[in-house]
Amino acid sequence: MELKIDRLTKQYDSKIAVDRMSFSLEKGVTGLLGANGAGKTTLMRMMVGLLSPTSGEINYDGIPVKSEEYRNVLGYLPQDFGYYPEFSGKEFLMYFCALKGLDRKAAKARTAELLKLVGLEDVAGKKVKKYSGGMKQRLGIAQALINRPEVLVLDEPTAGLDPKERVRFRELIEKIGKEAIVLLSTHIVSDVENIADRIIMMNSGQIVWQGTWKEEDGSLEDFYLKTFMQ
Amino acid sequence: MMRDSEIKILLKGYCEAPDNMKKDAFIRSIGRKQQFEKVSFVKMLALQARYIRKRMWIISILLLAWAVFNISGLESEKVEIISKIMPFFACFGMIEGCRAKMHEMSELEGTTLFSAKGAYFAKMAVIAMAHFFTIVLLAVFTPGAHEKGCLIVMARLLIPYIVTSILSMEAERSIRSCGKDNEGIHIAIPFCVALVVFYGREVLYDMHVTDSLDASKVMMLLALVLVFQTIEVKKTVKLEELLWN
Ligand SMILES: Nc1ncnc2c1ncn2[C@@H]1O[C@H](COP(=O)(O)OP(=O)(O)O)[C@@H](O)[C@H]1O
Ligand SMILES: [Mg+2]
Repeated sequence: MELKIDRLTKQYDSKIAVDRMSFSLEKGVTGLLGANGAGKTTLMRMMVGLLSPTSGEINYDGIPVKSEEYRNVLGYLPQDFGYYPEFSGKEFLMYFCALKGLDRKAAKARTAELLKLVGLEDVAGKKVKKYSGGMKQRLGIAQALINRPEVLVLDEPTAGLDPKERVRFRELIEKIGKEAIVLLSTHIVSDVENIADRIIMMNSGQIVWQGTWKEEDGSLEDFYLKTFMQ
Repeated sequence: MMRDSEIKILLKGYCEAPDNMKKDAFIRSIGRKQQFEKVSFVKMLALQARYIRKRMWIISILLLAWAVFNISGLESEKVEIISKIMPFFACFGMIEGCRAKMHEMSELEGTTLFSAKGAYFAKMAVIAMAHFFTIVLLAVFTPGAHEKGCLIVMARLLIPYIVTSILSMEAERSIRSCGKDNEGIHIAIPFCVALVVFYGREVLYDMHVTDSLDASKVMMLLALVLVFQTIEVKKTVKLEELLWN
């Protein structure tokens, strides 16, 4: 179980958004920490096969990211996403169950399970339109978990969550991280400092620091700020 | 609030805890097992068919009903009039397929097993099959059709339909590859296309297709249009690579 990124680069016209990044991810939670514009979303889009790199390679145990085989074990939460206006929360999940190949019966069971997991069972029949930001985000997280992913990529998953929802989200991610490769991006240090087994800090498309943060190292927040003040 | 124990139970279906040594191999084997059950295209069609909105079908039926029952005039003119409806028929089908980008669902759909492209083609295929079936029925049962020959009538209904779908696909692709979201364009292009086809076919069909020579011209035109359709579908199949670049 290894997701390998090798000298990955993405250039938009004159802007290099991701610059020769190399690292590999194993089972556990990895926090991708970086300010806005650091290149987190660009990196993640390449890792889920939505965006072709300018150069470099990504593979998961030798499987290329642009393959059915990879998508079958992938869960992804984009930074922004929409929904068909006619969808209720339940229909939204049912739709993605169908796209992930679950038949109707399995989809119903999985949808009920996930709605409960993210605490949306009471509003399952309500239109997504009427959801609050936090509820919509939880729905997005549920969608990413449908196929019990081996690789879970979450782009700013805590955006829009209130403090209580954040705590619950952290608990959930910690558990999933025991069985899967989880990568989550954020610009908020407290989102990752307690749950991430490993942290990758990036700035201007490059890794500025990576490793495991231990309590004796002091405050991650201070370190993060210091790194970006230079 | 959910308790830890409840989460544990939910996560148990996720992965039964095996002994540490075999864990990696075990998890890998789960992944491989899932991959072996490749979902067939037919199943994919069935799964996607229910997500075509009812209004698409209702609009199709209403357009047809209007064309078939409410047009006064000579029986033989009905074929002409119904063929003018065809671009709109195609349009509403194409709009149904364009919705993912419009509603910011492409990224989510793009990372599923079927991918955004799969979802698009499955919906399109279901709609196209239903429409094709309708066109065949129309060609057989429209009053006046038999005088002209069913095949010719069918060709004359299909040509504007296919031309519209080709141009709509072209428009959809250029919208996707330029990466801009503009709902107005999504709606406007198919309509413009329909209008162009509408007048285009006025020119094409002004000459009466009665003798066998003209009939063969129509069939040749159909063949040509089908070739373009195939090219267009092939280009769209390759679209995913271009989506974000
Ligand atoms: N499609 C694009 N075209 C041109 N530049 C882009 C595009 N997407 C992102 N960028 C640029 O790449 C850089 C990294 O962006 P992004 O990956 O979204 O960062 P983050 O997610 O860390 O905020 C930014 O400077 C952004 O302006
Ligand atoms: Mg971002």
